[in-house]
This record gives sequence, structure tokens and C-alpha cells, in this order.
Amino acid sequence: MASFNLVDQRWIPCVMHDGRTEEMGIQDTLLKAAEIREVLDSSPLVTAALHRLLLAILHRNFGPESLTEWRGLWEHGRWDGAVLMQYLADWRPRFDLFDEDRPFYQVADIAADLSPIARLELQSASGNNPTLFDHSLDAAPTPVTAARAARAMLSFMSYAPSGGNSAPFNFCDSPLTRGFTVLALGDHLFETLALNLMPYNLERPISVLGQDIPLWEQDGYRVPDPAGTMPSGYLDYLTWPSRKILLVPQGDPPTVQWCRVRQHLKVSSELLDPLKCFERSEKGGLFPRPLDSGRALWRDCHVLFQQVDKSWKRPDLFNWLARIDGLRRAGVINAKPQYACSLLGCAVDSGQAKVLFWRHERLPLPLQYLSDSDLVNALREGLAIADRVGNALTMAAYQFALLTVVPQWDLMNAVNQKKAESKSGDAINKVRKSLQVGLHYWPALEREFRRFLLDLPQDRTIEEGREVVYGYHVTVQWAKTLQKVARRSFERAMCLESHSQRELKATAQAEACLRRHLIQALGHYAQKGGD
Amino acid sequence: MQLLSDRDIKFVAHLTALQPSTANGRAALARLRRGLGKTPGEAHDVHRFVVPWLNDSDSDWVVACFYLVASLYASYCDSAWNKNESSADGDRNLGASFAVWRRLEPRATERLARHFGLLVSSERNELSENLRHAISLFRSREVPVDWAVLLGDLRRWDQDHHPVQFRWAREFWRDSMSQSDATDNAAAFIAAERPNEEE
Repeated sequence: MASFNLVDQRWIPCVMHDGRTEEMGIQDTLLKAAEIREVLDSSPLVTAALHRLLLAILHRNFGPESLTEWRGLWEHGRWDGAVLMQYLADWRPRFDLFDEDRPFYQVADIAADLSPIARLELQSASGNNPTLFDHSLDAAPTPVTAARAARAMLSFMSYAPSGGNSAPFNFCDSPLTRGFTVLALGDHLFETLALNLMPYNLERPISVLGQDIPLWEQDGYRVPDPAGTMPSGYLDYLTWPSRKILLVPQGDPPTVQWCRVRQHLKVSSELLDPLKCFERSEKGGLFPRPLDSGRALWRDCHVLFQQVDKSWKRPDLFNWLARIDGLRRAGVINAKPQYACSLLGCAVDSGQAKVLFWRHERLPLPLQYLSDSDLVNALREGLAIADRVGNALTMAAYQFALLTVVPQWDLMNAVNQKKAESKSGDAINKVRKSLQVGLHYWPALEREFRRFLLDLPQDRTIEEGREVVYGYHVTVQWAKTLQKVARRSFERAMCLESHSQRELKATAQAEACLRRHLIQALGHYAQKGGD
Repeated sequence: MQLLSDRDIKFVAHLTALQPSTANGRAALARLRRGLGKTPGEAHDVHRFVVPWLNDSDSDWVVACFYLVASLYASYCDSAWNKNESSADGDRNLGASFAVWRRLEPRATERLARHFGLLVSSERNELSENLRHAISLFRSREVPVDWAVLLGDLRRWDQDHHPVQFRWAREFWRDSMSQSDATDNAAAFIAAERPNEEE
């Protein structure tokens, strides 16, 4: 009989402090948490799902009900090995991936057709999934190891998108399908898990409505409701069974080629995930802020950090981290003023059961941002300048495209200019897009932005009237950096392949346009910084 | 602003020392002018003025540039830039010279653009003739020329991505745009999509 027990079999990818990756079971991962730098998979969806599993186990065993209890755990520096080992021993059979009666996270008897295992790996070529990295064939799926099947199943349970027929109703989004998850990162896995281990009681992180236990402790199955089901509590939510799944093992050691999948519980839309950022709709409801393929998350990090905003709700995790920082400043706990955070998620094609792209971004997280609105405003200003400079680049690219498509445009009168632009609008925008100035600008800026993010809190001035101002010097430096990166991006985009008169004229005039718009974009920072 | 080579500066200084106000100067300039339209091998009258400035490592093209500039200078030796006049970046390349001409004759912009375009898109084998034509037009309108800059630019004419041609174009077209460029329509077009795209 096949067996693969997740408590001690190696399946969780752990990056050690020396950079090696080593797979460990649940027990070792938690007991050696301080020796592990982080849990990290090539798929951000697996990474997020693994953290949620580990958090569920920790909450189950350690609470903590209050900040005081949390502080005790934090200062201990390690999870209580005796408590964890006893718990995992008590529930060991339920962690066997191929147990005949209660396989981990699965249902032993499912009325569903066989599907290739690639279906659970959202990056694989299977069904609707666009081929991101893989060329598996549904008719002859490649068997995967039990470890890989476990990771795939865990992430699928959290991220499976809606779309496709099933019973008792068609497939719905899983808890993490929409939006992105935010995780705090410490210097090692113990710190990471502890930072994300928010107080767990009847009210927080989400209200407890019944017996709140993780999936492997539950007996029986709830009846799925197409209108959505409210989790019993946070443990229930962290281990939410959005699907009924069964992995079909073969061979020894066991591999998995096939699985069965069926719709199970749809989580209620009223549940606000404490690790997500929400935006307010026009009608007033809160929805997970979606990923944007054309805009990295760091560009809106001021929104993530903002305490109060009428359009957004930041993750509850950040409220919790702000409390930790308050205790640190008061000298009550020993913590750092700065950690980091991971932003993980995917974007799906609605109703098509298709993952379009996924994202994993990391940002430094000086905790001061979480409680200092003046600092966040200064950050917002810096990002706004970056946006304006980006717009200046776009305008310059447009100017180049315009003069490439309509070379005599500058010699026309205003009326004919407008006519020519309108007539050739599609061609102009096609040329503009082909330059991809944004592709040169924003990725180059990301590294520089981290420096700005870290330096801004240190650049604090108290002006007359005791008004606190951040960025008196740092923002000027940031503006200079933006200019430099913008010009470099422009040069790269305009790399001349020929020296035709048309191209030279278009480039020269686009550069002049960039200069003018940069002056406008930078405002008084242009005068301060100079060029 | 373009950095000038010491040799280029000194070579041009040597040429400008040939004063048309003296008999020797006039005779020297006349010999140099006979080199117009000829290859270095054919321009026997020019050798004594150019060869002392050449290095053994100079390519045929670099040699040709020295002969060309020497002859062109002789055809328009009263061409110095005024001390107070230069482009915003201080660049005095031939694009800036054309820009001066355009400021002198704003109505001739379209015609000038054609002359400029012809010159800036020249291949090596076309440059000599196109430059002679341009310099003769400059002479008739007293448009300034910086010969040291021109020599340096000619030597680098075929660099990858054509930075010389782009610097000329930048100077020529810099002030030709109206301040209200395509912004209004650009904003409308771009707003219909997503600005600040990273794709």
C-alpha cells in the first residue's frame, strides 16, 4: 500500500542560510525553523500555500490568544518541539498523502473522472492553462513525485480558478485565486512564521463561528453552498477545502500521474482575508485588489502601507506588525525596525479556469511606514513623481512614433496636425508600443526604489511649526535617479539601427519632448536637483 | 557635448593660421582648394599640409577625413562661430550650424530640412560631395562651422547606432518643435489604454 507521510517525508523546499535548498517534512521544518532561511518554491502559489499550512499548525498548537502570549513565543526563539511532536504524532495518519481512509487534504471516494496530475500545477500545460513553462500532454501525463504532487495539491486547493463543469455546482474560485497574499519575512523561518502568527482568538484574525479546527482534524464533509460558506474560523480558512481531490499513486516509491477533482466548498465573499489588500468598489463592497500585468505591486506600496484610506483596506497583518513596532519602540520587545514582505499571487482569466500569470515580489518593510502617515505621504509623493516621469517617457515615445508615421507633422498647421494624428492613430500607437519604453524604465527603477524606500524614514526634518517633513534630501536624490533612468530608458528604446532622416528627426524631437515633459514631471525637484 | 581630440584641434588651428590676408596664406588656401573632389592620392597639392598630422595607424577613412576637412576649410575659411553663439549644450556640430541657418531664414525650414536630411543620411562615399554642397550653401549665408568638431564627427561617421548623426539631428531639430507638441492627442490616445505600461 502506497504511503507518503508529510510529517517526516521530504517535500517542503527549505532554503538554508548558506543558500542550499533542502526538502524537509513538516516536523523538521518547524523544529529547525531558526536554522532555515525561508520556505521557497519556484511557484509563488506553492510558497504561499506552504506558509498557510505551517501557520495553521502553529496557531492550532500555540494560539497565541494575545500579544502577551505572542511575545512569549517570540522571545523563546523556537517552537516548542515537545508540543509539536506530540501533536504531529497524534494526527500522523491524517498527514499520509495516500492513506486509504483519510488521505491528507483529500477525499477517498470521489465521483469524478481521472485528470492528469498537471491539472493541479497551475503553471503546467493542461486543459485551459496556457503553456507557461511546460509541455506535458494530457493524454500521456508525466508522473511526478509524491512530494511534488503534495505541493501541487496544496497550492491548487488555495488557488484553483473558477470555470468548468462540476457537481454539486460548477467550479468556483478558491480562497486565494483573487488578489495577492502578503507575508512578512524575518531573518529566518522562525521569525517569518512568528511575524505572521497574528493573535488568534474568538474575534481575530477572523471571527470564530463554530468549532475551528484544521481540515485534517475534521470528520465528515459540509454541504457545499453555491452562495458561499463562511469558515468556522481562521484554522478552517487556512486549510479551506475548495475542492475534493484524490491523488492516484502508483509504483514504489509512489509517483502520481492522475488525480480526481471535484468542486467542494466555496468561501463566502464576506470573508476578508487578513493577509490580503482590498479595494472598495463603487457600490461600497470590498474586493481583493487584483494583480495588474502592466504594473508591479511595489508601485502602489504606499497603498499597502496606508493605515486609513477610503479606497483601500490594507492587510490586517500590517496592523499587527504596526503593533509589534510600537512595542519595539517602547522597549517592550526585542525586534528590528525593519523586516521584509513578500507579495504573492496570480491573475486568472475569469470563468476560463486559466491562470494568466503569477507574481512574487519582495519589498523591504521599514515598519515605521505602517504607523506614520507623514512618511507614507512622502512615499506617495515619490511614487507619484515616478509615475509622472513614466508618463513623460510615454509622451516622448508617442512623439517619436508620430513623426515616424507622419514625418511632416511638425510642418503642418494645428488643424492638419490634429487630422493627421487622428487618421494615423492606430499606426502611431503601434509604433509607440513597439518601443516598449516602459519595459526599460520600470524594471530598472525597482532596484533604485528599494533604496528610496529604505532611506526615506531616515531623512526626517522638523520644520517651523513642528511639522514633520520626510525626504527633504532623499526625494531630491530620487528625482535625479528618475531622470537618469528615464534618459537611459529612452536611449535604449531609441537605439538607432539606421540613420534615415525620418528616424533621426523623430528621435531628436522625441528627446526634446522628453526634456520638456521631464521638467514638468519633476516640478520643483528639477530646479533643486538640476540636470 | 562631444569631446574633441587634441590632434583635431591642433590640425584645425594649423589650418586657421593660414591667413587669406597674406600672400603665403592665400597661396596655401588655393592649393588646399584644389583638393576638393579628389581622393587623397590625387590631391598632390594638399599633401604638405595634411601628411605631417597623420599617424601610421590611421585608416584610409581617417586619412580621407583630414584631406576633406582641409579642402573644405579652404573653401570657407571665414566661418568661425561667434564666441557667444552655440547650442544649449555647447555643441557646435553641423546640425547646430544648420539650426543657425534656420534661425536666419525661418521660412526656409522645409528646404533646409531636405538639405540636412540628405547630408545626415549620407553613406561614406556620398559624404564628400554632400558636404561640399552644404558648405557652399553655408558660405553664401555666413553660417558658422566648427571644423575641429566636423573632423571628429566625420572620423566617427560609421559608429554603431550612429551617435554622430543623432547629435546633428538633435541640434538641428531641438528648437523646431512648437511648445505644444502632440501632448493633447497623445494623452487621449494613451489614456484609452494603460499608461505606464511595463510591457
